[in-house]
Amino acid sequence: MNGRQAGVALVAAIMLFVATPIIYTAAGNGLFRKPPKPELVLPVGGDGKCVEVTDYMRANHMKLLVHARDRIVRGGELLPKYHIEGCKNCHNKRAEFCDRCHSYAGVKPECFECHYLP
Amino acid sequence: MTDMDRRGFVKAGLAVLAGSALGPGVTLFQAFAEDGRESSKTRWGMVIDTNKCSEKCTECVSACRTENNVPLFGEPKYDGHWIRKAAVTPDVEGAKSMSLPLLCNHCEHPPCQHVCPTAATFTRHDGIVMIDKHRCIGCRYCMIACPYKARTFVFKSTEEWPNKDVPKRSKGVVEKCHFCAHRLDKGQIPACVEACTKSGDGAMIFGNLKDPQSDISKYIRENAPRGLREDFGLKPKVLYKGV
Repeated sequence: MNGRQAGVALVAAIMLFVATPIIYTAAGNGLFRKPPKPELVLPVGGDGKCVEVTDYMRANHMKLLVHARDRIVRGGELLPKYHIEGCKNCHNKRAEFCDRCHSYAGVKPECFECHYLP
Repeated sequence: MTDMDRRGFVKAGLAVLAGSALGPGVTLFQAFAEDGRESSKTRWGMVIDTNKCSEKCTECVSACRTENNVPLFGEPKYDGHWIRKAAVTPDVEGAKSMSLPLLCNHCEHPPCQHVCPTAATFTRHDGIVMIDKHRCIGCRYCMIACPYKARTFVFKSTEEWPNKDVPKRSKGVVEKCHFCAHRLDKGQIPACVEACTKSGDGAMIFGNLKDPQSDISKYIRENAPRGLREDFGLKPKVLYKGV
């Protein structure tokens, strides 16, 4: 082993020594664990079908609501299918449905400041 | 040869353009015909007969508060008003005093809409001047522009929520009367008009100004009510008889 290789090995050893407690702490705080998926309580009311299929609604309900919002508010159209007031016909427990995913994903929609969803 | 090619290219391009513009359905022009301001068949308006409106009655005001969740904080500088009653004391001897319900006049040429920097205030196809509170940034230009003082600013968020079918508002937006647009969409009349009729005064008449057979059109033809400060040229759609 020449001097250069010894230097590299020394630096690597120091870095591992410094990083070990950080890695241990991070692992304890759940860095390498996936957080548990949110448990949703699906609504029992209605006929069990949302306005679109479930996967589509999961990914795109906010887009539907925003587009419907512009058409309803500004265009004066009657769109009961995508109206936010229509959601609560079935989804009548916000804390067990909407809020769980929203807090899991860390999003803070402002809808519920003004629109009532029980 | 190249010249001919270029000409041919331009011709072909124009043909493509024309084809797409006047393509099947001619959607652009149809959209204007159905949703444009000028062509809508409905234009909501209101007439208030000041002779019938009794001075102590505030049914319209309280009905509006419950219907639209307009808050009362107990502090006048924070309170919102969509409709309010103003006492008019004449300075001419012999003229009678009266109390006028004042609300948004839903002008045909709304100055509040012209000054709005985010286009949050807009005129709906049926002539209702509305605020899109999702877009409102709370700059309050519209409150300065409105000569009727129909708008109030929301300084505080409200806690009580009497009518949960109707959204309340978060603080930092401007609000005003929208003729109970949610009720009109369901085929009902505004809450203040309903309350006025129930109270027995029947001072408010509401209807479609564009329909010559509607009650309000007949009333206007017979009684010639006037708008407030018509000299502004804003063409208000709330008219008063006996002012």
